[in-house]
Amino acid sequence: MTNQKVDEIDRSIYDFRYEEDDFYRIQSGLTPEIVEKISEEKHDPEWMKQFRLKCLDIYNRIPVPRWGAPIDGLDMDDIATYVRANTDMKKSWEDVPDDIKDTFEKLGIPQAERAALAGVGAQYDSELVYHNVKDEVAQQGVIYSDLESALTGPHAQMIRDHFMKLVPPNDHKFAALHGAVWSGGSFVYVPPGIKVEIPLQSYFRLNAKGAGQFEHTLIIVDEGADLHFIEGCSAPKYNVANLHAGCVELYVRRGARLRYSTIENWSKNMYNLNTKRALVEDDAVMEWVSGSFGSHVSYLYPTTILKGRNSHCEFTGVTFAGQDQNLDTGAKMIHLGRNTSSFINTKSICKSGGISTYRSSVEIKKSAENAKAAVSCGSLMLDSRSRSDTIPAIVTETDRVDVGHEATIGRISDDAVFYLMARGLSEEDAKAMIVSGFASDVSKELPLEYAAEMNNLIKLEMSIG
Amino acid sequence: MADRGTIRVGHISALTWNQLKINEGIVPGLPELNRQMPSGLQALPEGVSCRSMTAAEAAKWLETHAPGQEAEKFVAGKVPIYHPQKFGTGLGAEYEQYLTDSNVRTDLIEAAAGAHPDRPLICRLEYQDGDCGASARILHLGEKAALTMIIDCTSGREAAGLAAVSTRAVLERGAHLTLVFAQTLGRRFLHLGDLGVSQADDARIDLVWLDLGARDSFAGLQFEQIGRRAAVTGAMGYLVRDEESVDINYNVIQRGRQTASSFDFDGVLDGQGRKAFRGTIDFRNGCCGSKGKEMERILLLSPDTVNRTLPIILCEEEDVEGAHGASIGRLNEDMLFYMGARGIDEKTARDIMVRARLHAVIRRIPEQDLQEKLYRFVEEAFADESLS
Repeated sequence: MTNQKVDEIDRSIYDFRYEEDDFYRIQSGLTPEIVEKISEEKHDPEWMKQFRLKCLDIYNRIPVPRWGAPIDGLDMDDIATYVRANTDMKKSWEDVPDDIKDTFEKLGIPQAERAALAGVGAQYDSELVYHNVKDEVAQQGVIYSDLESALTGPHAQMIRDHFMKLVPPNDHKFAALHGAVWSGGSFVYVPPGIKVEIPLQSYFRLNAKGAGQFEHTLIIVDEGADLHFIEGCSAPKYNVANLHAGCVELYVRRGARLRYSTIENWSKNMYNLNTKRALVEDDAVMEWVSGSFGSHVSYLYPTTILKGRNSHCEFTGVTFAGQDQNLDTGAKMIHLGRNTSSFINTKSICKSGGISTYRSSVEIKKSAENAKAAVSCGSLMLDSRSRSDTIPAIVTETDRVDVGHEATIGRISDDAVFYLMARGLSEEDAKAMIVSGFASDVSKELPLEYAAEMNNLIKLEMSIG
Repeated sequence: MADRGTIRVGHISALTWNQLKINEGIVPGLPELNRQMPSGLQALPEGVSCRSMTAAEAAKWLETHAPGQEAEKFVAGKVPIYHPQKFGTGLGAEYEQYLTDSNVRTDLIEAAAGAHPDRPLICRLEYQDGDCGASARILHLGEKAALTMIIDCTSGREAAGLAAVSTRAVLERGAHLTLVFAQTLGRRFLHLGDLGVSQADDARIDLVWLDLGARDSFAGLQFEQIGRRAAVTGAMGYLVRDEESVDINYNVIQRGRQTASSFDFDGVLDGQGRKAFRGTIDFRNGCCGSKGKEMERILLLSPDTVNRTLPIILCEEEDVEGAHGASIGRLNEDMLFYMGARGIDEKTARDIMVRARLHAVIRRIPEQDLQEKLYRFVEEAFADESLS
């Protein structure tokens, strides 16, 4: 096998940026005064202000985790936790300020909305700048709004009952940080029995240098309902650290189904310390589809609590770690209910000195009789400057279980490259095709437009200079 | 028994979430040693010698004869190792320090270059009730030497105490060690079984490890494959019943080109038995053409068992093949049905299948007497118990 030389990815379609003219930017750092100021700027109800301060206190008490990728380069004193464009949220795309509109148009968001989405939310730095849901979906009773509006609107109690209940602030250090400075994000409620035929999407863009984004996504899919939610994110690259510490809380009620798809493409100066969790009730189904391509450092382990009987979860993920990237990703499954089942299927690819760590846990509690779980993780090493680690844990507390686990690690087969080259492909195209095939478990689960974007990202990563 | 406090053993190189309680083994209330165990060696085969050393002499000997080893502070400059150890063993630095502080003497057992003894070297460690005894040895196999060593660690069924066993092996170029370790200690014993192996070019070790007795057992196995084409195979069986626990840590560090490791673990958990397993295949940069695989099969016989499994692959080399797998659950219902259809009642069928798990490992032991003894131990273990 010849050495595979892969250049730094061409991210020009994501790397454009605009100056922060006429923006409100809070002082960098993390103090009670800053947290109070954010609360004031956001016109929080009093309980939320107190909640933020409590979270800050918890944040200061919890140590930095010892087990993951190093985050020494992240100094909260250098991070502005709240940056707001001088615009309120628009319902018409035409009303969004030109530079922000231009940003999202370059990313293809409005085109996607017209072609394939039931609703779109677009967040720019700390606040949503655009939110819209198609009339026919709204008429079904589906609520898709920014979280701030929901916090004070007719669903205020519902928000209060669910906000950071699934991910409590003492869960870990960055959950506490999120609780203290969260801003933006979406609230979705799908009424019982309603099936949303085409996906909703939120897109998060962090434009500001040395800033953090802390959006909160809360989705409740009520009994027998069905939803596909897509999340996308990107940022231009700076030479200082940016931080993303979002939080996603998903409630999948009895007999419901939720698919949550993410294509993450943060820039390589981003610390992506994100928390996602789903609670799944009787006979309900949770599906995660996750593509992690960006960030300097990622900690990302979507967690599913299979509480209800016969509940089921599938996690399908691909992680591609290139130069200057240390991506620590995976999933957690917690089986509580009887006859629950889960399947984790992940692929990791690393090249050009990138570090990819697959980390997971499957916990089958004593109450989860007849639980079934399977874990399959594959890793592909594209050179010997890179590193790929696989750290999957399984804990069972009852005998009435059936758990299987398999993991493999290897490189691109010389024979496969030779086969494709014998049929007219260049070596580079052959390798790109093999890697795309390796990651096809994820791309085939995405809507066509997003699968194409993911394959494009892989092709960019594989481009040989 | 005086208490020396708590030590942590069997750390993994790459930590994971603390809440899973699997990053290390905790040995609470480790008692003071009250006995230096005799060597327990049967007659030495031709070409094999033995002499006793102090802990300091043993450390100096290893420094001279295993120079390829360094006390690593990081795995690949990334993951901090918080207990660096110069000659790595599975249980790690705190256990080594415990033996050193206790002035445990070490037997240096050497097989001369080219020696091929025609019979195994047998070591019987027979613990008495109340013993807190340590036994340590270094096996040094010269170039192209081949040795089979059997360590049989045992006591009366109801005996209490501590069995602290340490084995370190330095295998020179082309050496071949077949190592059998069987532990059938009493049901109130604490067992600490530690192994560290350094392998030069073409050195090979075939390991059979049976952890069947003791109330709490900690087993640590580490292999440093420094040389090219170094190879290790392992077959391990364990049995955990009642309120017993077993904690296993194994770590294969594959540094040389075309090294190979292959491990099979077969375990049975019954009663309120608890088991933790940490297995690491660590492919280091430069180990081109290396292969590592590991499989764990766990049979759960009681709803009160707790099983923790953490199979790890660390990899910084492109040209390798690594695989691990685990299968955890009850007896196969289809198999029970199949046997039932042939007139074998469920209890008998279960007994057959449980024994088959452990017998498959016991059969690998190249000594008839020990095989028979272990078959009997398994029979007696289940004779008065209902395999639910």
